Amino acid sequence: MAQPFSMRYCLVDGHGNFGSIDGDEAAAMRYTEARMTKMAQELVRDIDCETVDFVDNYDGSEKEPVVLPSRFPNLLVSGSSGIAVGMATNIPPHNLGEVIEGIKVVAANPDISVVELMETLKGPDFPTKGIILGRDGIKKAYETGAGSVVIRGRADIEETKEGKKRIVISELPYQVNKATLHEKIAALAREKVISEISNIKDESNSLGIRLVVDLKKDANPEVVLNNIYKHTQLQTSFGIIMLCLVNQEPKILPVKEVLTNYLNFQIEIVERRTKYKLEKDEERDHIVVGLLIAEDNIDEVVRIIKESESPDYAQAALMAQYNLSEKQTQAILSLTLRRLTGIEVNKLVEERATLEKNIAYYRDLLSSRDKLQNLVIEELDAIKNKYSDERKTEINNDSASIEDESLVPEEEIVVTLTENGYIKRLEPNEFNVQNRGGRGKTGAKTKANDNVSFILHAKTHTDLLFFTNYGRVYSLRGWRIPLYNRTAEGKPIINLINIEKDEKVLTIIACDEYQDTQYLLFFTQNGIIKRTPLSMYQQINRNGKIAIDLRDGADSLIRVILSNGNEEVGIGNSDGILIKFKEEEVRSVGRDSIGVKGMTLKPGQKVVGATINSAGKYILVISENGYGKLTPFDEYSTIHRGGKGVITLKVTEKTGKLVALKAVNGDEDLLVVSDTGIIIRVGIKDIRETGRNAQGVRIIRLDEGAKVASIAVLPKIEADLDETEEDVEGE
Amino acid sequence: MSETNDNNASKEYSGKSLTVLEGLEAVRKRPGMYIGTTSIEGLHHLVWEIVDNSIDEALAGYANHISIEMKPDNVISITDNGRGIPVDIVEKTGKSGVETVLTILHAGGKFGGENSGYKVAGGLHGVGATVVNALSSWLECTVYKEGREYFIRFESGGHVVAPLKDIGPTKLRGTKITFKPDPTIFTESTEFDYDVIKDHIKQMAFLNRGLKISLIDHRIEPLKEVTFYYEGGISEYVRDLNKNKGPLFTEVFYCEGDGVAIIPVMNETDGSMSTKEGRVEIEAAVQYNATSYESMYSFCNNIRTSEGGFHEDGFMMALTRELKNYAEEKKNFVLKEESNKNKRTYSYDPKEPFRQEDVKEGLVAIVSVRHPNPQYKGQTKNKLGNEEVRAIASQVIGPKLKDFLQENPDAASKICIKVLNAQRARIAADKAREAIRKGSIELTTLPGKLADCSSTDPVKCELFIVEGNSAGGSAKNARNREFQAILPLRGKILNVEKATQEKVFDNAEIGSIITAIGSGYGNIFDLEKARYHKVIIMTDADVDGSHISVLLLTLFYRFMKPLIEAGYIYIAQPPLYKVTYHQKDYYAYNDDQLLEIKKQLNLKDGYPTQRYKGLGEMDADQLKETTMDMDNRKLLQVTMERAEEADRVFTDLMGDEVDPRRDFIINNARFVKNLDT
Amino acid sequence: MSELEKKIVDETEETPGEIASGIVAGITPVEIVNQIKSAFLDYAMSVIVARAIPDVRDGLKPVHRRIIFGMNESGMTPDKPHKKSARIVGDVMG
Repeated sequence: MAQPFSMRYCLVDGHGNFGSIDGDEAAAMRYTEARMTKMAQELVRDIDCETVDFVDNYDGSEKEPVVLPSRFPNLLVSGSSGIAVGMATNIPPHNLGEVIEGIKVVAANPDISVVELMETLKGPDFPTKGIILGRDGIKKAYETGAGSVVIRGRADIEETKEGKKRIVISELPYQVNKATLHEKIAALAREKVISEISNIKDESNSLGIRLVVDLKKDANPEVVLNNIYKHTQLQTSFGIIMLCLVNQEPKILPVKEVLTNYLNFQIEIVERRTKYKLEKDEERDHIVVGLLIAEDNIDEVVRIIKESESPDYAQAALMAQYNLSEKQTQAILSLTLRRLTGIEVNKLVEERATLEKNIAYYRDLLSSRDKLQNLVIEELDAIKNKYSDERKTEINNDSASIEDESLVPEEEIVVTLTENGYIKRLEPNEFNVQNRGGRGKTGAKTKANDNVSFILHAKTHTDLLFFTNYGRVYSLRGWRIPLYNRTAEGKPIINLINIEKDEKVLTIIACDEYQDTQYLLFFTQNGIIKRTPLSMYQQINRNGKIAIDLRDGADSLIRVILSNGNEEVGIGNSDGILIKFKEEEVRSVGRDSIGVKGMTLKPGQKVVGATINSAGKYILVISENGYGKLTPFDEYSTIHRGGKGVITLKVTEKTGKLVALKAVNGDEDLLVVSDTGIIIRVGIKDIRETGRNAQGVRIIRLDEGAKVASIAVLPKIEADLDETEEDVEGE
Repeated sequence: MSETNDNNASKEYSGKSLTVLEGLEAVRKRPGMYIGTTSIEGLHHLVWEIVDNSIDEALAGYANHISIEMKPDNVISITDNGRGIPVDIVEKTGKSGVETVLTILHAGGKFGGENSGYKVAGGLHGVGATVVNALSSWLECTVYKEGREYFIRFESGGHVVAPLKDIGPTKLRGTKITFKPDPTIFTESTEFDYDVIKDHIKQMAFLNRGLKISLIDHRIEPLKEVTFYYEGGISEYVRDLNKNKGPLFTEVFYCEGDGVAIIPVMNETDGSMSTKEGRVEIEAAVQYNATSYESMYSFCNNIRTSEGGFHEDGFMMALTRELKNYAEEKKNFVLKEESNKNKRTYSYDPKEPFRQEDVKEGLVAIVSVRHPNPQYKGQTKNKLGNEEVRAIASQVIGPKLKDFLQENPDAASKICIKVLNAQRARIAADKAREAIRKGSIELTTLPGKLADCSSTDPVKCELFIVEGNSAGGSAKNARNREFQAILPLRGKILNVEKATQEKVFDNAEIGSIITAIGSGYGNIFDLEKARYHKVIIMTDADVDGSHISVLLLTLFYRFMKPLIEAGYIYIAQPPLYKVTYHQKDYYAYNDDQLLEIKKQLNLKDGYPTQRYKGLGEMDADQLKETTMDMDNRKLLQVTMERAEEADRVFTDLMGDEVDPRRDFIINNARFVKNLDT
Repeated sequence: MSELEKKIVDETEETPGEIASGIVAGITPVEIVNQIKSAFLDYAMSVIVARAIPDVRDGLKPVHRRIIFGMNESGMTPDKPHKKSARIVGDVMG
């Protein structure tokens, strides 16, 4: 109770070593000295006026008070913490002035809402100052009696003469040990958890706390500070539990009830004090009245006394004569002669007047609870004027959660995804977009029989939308994909997004912004096309949401494409038919809608691919036996949505069904994967361009009985990354 | 293996492949040497030999269906749809391939040689069909090969009745062997057991993915038939094993792969030895269940290696390693229980890496190896002794396990939680054993604080466990030195319900209690060794005293339950008040009793009442006469009728969870004003 | 015994009481469940109501209340010089 860093208003005035914020121990009790503070005196004020009950102490030798009059609201002001059995209490300290004003406000308006109350009683006020983040925690604690409040110390970013940055900590959160914090930051720096810290010094003195954290050159001080908040106690949370005893029963109270309980208690105190004073004054008045009567009739009184045999006899005579009580006559008999002088008599008269006034006043007070309450408030105001001070802890509106994102710098990334669902992010120095010349080693090494199905550029702070064949969409920020080097396989994506066992990611779309003019086009196997504004996919997370209604698995998603809204769309089916129509013919619908017919299919036909105009100049189609065609997209005429389409490749027994359709620009590489696991790579520029009506040509030669399983088109840049020489052996 | 490989031109199976070795009289003289025993086991071994041959055909890729027919009169018939035993005349023997195989020992094409028809062979005891023939009253063999059907019959232990005859054309393919075991050899019984054969072929079907094996019992009406065919092979085997054991998750881990082994080769012509590379194939399947047993079945060439071997070693190494790495990476695992909304988090401590024993709990695994030259060791020759297999197993299985864990985070998490639990139990048990070791040393050195009694008869002796050194002092003076021992406690003892086992065993105070009582604790508790038949808890009559008595009872309940059950635990009853009335002392043990006394004796308020706050307040005489006098004292004897409830109550009141404790207090407390300190 | 107490004792008449004097020896069985519940409840309630939880009115736990009251009774008020801490500890502990 003597430590100023523990108590908002100390109750004990200590002389000597009572401990420190570094956790140093106090000196032994035989060395230190103490006395009450003035505030502590307010706790016991009026205790002599029968304001509280007393009970026997533990051995019955003495009496002790059941409760102290507590003329200021100590519970909230000083706070309390304790661990009982099956329950615990943790009440933070508050500002004296705010609490008193809070009591007044609740007294005036008992139905006031907590939010309104918080305009007066803003929240906890810690002796160690610091900052409370956000009001939600306070509000919940005040409303229900329990809630968590996030506290931060105060840290400023300074720049040294040499241009290096440093963080200076001048305030700590409540109950945080400075030495421990210092050691923790040093440990983090040592273990390279926060490698940008070069040094930490404790420059604190009697004037205040000053922890200086020096940073290395090029360090980002905000990111470092966020990391310190995250990994140390410089940001902590205080779990408020307003558990206290009400009528000897433990209860968790909302703050309004704490205030009203206190107010009622004070009214009781004042009432009892008034009763006590009234009684005392009435007793005295009784005596004084008796004395005055005696004074008025002093000669006769003296005569009676002189004629009495004994004091008892005199008393009885006086009582009879003047109708006085025992007490009065006792007092009269005890009068000293000096009391008969003029001054003394006047004193008595004055005394009488005062007493009468007091008695009237007390009676008046006791007649009305409102009057008592007003007096209580008056006395509280007096306390407030005498002792209250400025708020120490700042309360701001910031959100308390430190997003991990604020710990990650924003930069370019490359992400690869394999067919078996292994995903990884490459370190920036592992790829270099400008570096086309070198042949580089494998950038997207995969396991045997697993190929890269997707490569994309994005940024760490970009949303990556994952669309799966179940028609669901999941979202991750770029930085959440784990970093691997070139030769690593990556991580199964089921670890990052909550897909189901057989759910496969079809495509990933990177979204930096969600412009209104952007749309997502969904193409399904049954010929459906859906067009939804990209902005509807903004609030997705790793648990995913429905991207398109696939009618309970009756259909499956083939492709998702990001478009600017004015595209021409091409859809191809297994029988070699392609339809081309304008995107605007597709009505825009909501996120989890069904979509409309894009292409009419005959029984047995299914959509094998879809693309848009801007994806490439040419349409490349491949059949299951390795035949295909490369035709300019322009050569296909634009018709209406839902129509039948035209032949893009004549499907025969030789060619087999159409299995893939892609838009290409002509300079990419084509990877064809057969169902026996063989990967064949062809430069698209080596494929002859033919007209729409022409026959297909054999694009690749497959082993007997083998069929094309899938294809991938690798843009030129990434071609440097994906060195598949080793893979092409096959079996 | 799953498709009949007609086109595989790699090896022909003709008479040239056979190697001549021995004659068959030896077999009849000492059947035990060839089939182990002539009991029922040996009898069925005949069936296994023939079936194994057919399985070898399947392994080589030529057969995919084996049919076993049990016929009346103890006849049995095994048919496969393989290539059919060679029918040409074998140079060395001058007989047909069929006759050679069935009459000359070790004449199967299994023993290496350049033209060996098999890459890997099954029949370990590989003595072949000759043994079967030798031990049969008669045996008939029909071969369907290249469009022709051939037949030969043997009688009386392998004597050929007539040479192999071409009977006619056929569209079938394969070999059919029918035989009747000789009752003069199998004196116990020649009756085949349907269930025994069924179980064996079921296992064979599991081990040989895609092989169909049928069993038909013609001996009864209506006939019984069963067919086993498992596409999933050993994965399905694992699932089958776990059917009723509560598998922790639905996925089964499976992998296959191969490695290279150096095998000896004998040159047929000059008998010289050289080496060549052989391929070792390995398959493994794993799933975990909710029991704490391990079910590991390992096989080499379809034969169960019940003593284990290098394949099991390699597998366990890989499993332990990959689980350890995975747990290190993930660090924490959350188990969401559906019954309550509580989530328990399990954390992996890299300083305590997983050990093989931890990983074995609830493990169901099958490891099947095919080795061209298996070496068997061990007492019953059931342990695979090829050392290179260990590395092969580890290298094949390890990476695949790693992928499985990464791709199935749910299953991986459940496995790790189970292993963590097993690990925790192991560490606790180790600590317990260590403490026992330490404790047993201490047993000869009783705790210094114990003021023991002189008698060594436990029946008469009693131990007072006393709160506080000051009370201890009084008690030591008040006691009967012969029968009463005093053990003072310093303050409150550890709450064993909340503490980890390690903390409990490290605690000196608890150690001294256990040592003083002398009967051990937990699994190694022995009531006979108790040094006192009365252990009396003596604490102050205040709330902290009550708490200490609760802590002691918790210790006894959790670690020395038999003491309670035997009625050895008592609680002393020191009085709270004494009223002296006309030279007589009246004692009250609570406030109500005091009131009663005052009423009965008609005492006014303010009548001098002595209140005993603490035991230390009493002097030795008072303590003796009010509480400890063996002939004149009040004791509570702790009994346990409601054992199940007791378990729950200790967990609720003293355990880790706060909620049950709080609920108990709120539901039972009477928050009345006069509670004393 | 004080004078008053002596007086009371002397004035008390001898009545043939039905209460047995001295220690009434005996072993009473007690079910462990009941014993635990009752002892635990005593302890728990005491800690809650008379040790660890502050009163809503004065915000104090019993020990703090005793210290402040004790300091006041011992005259360790702000207008007087500091006194040794050990003295208040002694006073409160009794």
